[in-house]
Amino acid sequence: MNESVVVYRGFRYLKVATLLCLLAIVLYAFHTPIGQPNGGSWLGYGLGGIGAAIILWLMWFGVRKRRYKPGKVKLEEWLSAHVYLGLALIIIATLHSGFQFGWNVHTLAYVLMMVVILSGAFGLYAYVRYPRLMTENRRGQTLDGIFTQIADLDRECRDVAMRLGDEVNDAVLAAAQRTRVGGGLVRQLSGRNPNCPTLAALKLMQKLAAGPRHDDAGVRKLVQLLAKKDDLLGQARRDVQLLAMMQVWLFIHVPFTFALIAALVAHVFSVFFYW
Amino acid sequence: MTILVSYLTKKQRGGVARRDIEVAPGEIRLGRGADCEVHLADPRVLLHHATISPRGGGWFVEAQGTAEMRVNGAVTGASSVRLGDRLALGPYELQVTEAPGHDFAINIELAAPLGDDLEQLKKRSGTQLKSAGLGKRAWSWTLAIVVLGIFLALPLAGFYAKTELGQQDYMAGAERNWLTGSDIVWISGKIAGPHRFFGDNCEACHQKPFVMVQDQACLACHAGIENHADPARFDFAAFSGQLCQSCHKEHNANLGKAALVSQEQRFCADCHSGLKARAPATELIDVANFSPGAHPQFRVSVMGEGAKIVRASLDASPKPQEVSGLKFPHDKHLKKEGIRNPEKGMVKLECASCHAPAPGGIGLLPVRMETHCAECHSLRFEPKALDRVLPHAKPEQALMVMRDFYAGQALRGEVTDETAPALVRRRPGVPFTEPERLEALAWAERKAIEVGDQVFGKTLCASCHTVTGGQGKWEVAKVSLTWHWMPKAKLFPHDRHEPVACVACHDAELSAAASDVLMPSIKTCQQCHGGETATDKVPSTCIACHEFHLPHLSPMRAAGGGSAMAK
Repeated sequence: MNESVVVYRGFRYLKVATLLCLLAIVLYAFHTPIGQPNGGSWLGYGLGGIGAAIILWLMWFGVRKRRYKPGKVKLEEWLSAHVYLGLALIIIATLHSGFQFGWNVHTLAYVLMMVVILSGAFGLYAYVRYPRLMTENRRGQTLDGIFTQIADLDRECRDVAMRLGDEVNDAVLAAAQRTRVGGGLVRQLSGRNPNCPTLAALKLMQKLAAGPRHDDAGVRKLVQLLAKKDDLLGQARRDVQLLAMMQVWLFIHVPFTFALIAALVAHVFSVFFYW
Repeated sequence: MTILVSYLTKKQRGGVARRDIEVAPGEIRLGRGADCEVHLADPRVLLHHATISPRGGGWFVEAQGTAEMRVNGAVTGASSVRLGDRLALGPYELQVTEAPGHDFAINIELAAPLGDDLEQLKKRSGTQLKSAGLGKRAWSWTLAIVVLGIFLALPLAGFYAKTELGQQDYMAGAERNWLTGSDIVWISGKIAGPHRFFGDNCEACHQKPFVMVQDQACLACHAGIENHADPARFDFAAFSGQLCQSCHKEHNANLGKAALVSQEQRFCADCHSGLKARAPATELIDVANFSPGAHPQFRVSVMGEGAKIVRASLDASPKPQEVSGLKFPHDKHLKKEGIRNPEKGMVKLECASCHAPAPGGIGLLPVRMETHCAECHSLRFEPKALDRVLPHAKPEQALMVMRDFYAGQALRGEVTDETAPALVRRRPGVPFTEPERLEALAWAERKAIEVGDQVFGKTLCASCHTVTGGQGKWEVAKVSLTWHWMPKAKLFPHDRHEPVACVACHDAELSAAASDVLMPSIKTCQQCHGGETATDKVPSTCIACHEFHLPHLSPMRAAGGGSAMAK
């Protein structure tokens, strides 16, 4: 998946969505209901109906993408329409609301919809931008490959440290045994592991190498090895970060879609229940 | 004798590989260091981890510094060593055993190998969001159920709980709880101020589920709200098919005064800009808005001849005249140099000297002779009798007062008028004979009528009223004042126009006759007020001066049906 979703067939769905929005804006501009614009005028009901229909259709994408049997319409086309009609909802639903917001189920549905749309927009950005960044960051390797190199370096470091003092050996052992890549949600998304034992070990070696033991070949070797390992760790963490960014929005997009559907049901039910 | 050190390594295919070395007795160092007698090549072991040394015929083991050591499972820093003891140094297990030809043997086994670096690194690291506790399905269900519960199930349950408990209780102000008040989340906008006192009781208006708010709900309070036009004359006036709420939109409190009553021009102008075409029977003149030319000149309802109301445009020729029966020159009373007060000399009058705003600031209080005129226009009829005043508006009583006064004077002989007969001018205290008494009374009667002619016809009454007749029978023309000059408009809010001088709108300073109509022309209003879209004037729509429901018409909707508001 890449930019092709955005530009699909010469921005066909961008055009469709823009036309829909322009039509809604023009109607809204000339629409003058008694009181103030709201979801209960003929235009309000119209925009609300169109908005709800679009939301249901957009949800159908979740079903469609799980069908591996190719349909009449390519998945790519579905996604392109999903993106642009989803973005069009921002305008259609806002006009439907008549810019009236409050602490109620109606605004709740609107807010949930905006969360879904904005997370989707981030997802689009991630899918367009991050694959290239991942490729660049990996420099032709895989994450497994990087991990293997790190493990090899650990072994090498330990061998060197074996002959050295306990302080050095302990630091190297900790670097090998306690260094982590990623971890929890924050660690994965931030691409940082604070208090990394490898970095601590590297700093110690650098300090020692600059001190009275500057001629110790073992320490100098460890500086090299640990610096290399630190580089690889950075690369691995960036890879995990980019992957997490590409995935994380979906953990908002999907659950909030279901919350939105629930709020939408309550919204439609309540306005007609208390008509 | 020596000490046998055996390194045991488990083979992959089973069995144990063994490598023996002999160590000379004495101090035996165990550690990672190459210089140790017992070399333990693992990074988890210190360079010099522990020392076994002979002591008092036995052997003794001592951990170095902070090194961790267990002897037979117990963590210790130092211990004697006996045959059969098991020592743990880092990942190594050492067993002290008997060995023929040696002092003892130490069997060393790596009990906890380092393991695979790669596997452990992968195990420690989290590279997938799923491993970070995120999920889609569980969250989707949870959020959807929470939203449906709070925003659908709960208010719905609350509604039916209220129905069961009886809505009357809630209208009567019964406390709402978390269940019966939970439908607050369905509110679509702030409720207009006047409705807020029952605003948390949705069923007051939304009486039946899935049915639009019906007129009965409104009529429960607003019973008798009048028609816009007479339905007997105009078929459209019933506005059939329309509900109260078709025009009065609730939940728009943020619109301020327009929250319930539309202030828009087109609301009226849509029909009234071409009313003649729609309703040929109408007497109303077409009006589009309040800008010059779009609204006809004001028509006033003036008191005419015979107390009949005459309706005429201010531009009509001849100009409309009020036939009030009074004489009153505004100009004289409002002269800049003032007007002569018999006791205070020159007094400067203002509009407010006579016209006071009515409580509430809408209309003006009526002008009263006793309050506003009598100070100057005294009803004393005899200069010598300062304590005698004629009653106002009661001609018969006035004659009696005068008759009484002159009769008294005559009978007491107090008359000083030299033209009067001597009979009534004699020394006090001398008694009358009966014929004399009758003559004196006859004089008093003549005098009273004579003075009365003066008072009614010229000096007192006639300065304000038109008086006809004479000789004891006077007719004071009836006073009929116009009460509501422009009955098709709301009463004018004088209080809100307070900064403007009265004479800026009412030409009182130039009016010499009471018959002048001092209502301002539409041009006066248009100096400040413009139509809805005016940018350089106060934008004013129809509803600023006119009402939709006209108070003199019949009710627009018949009240009926049960209402939650009805007690």
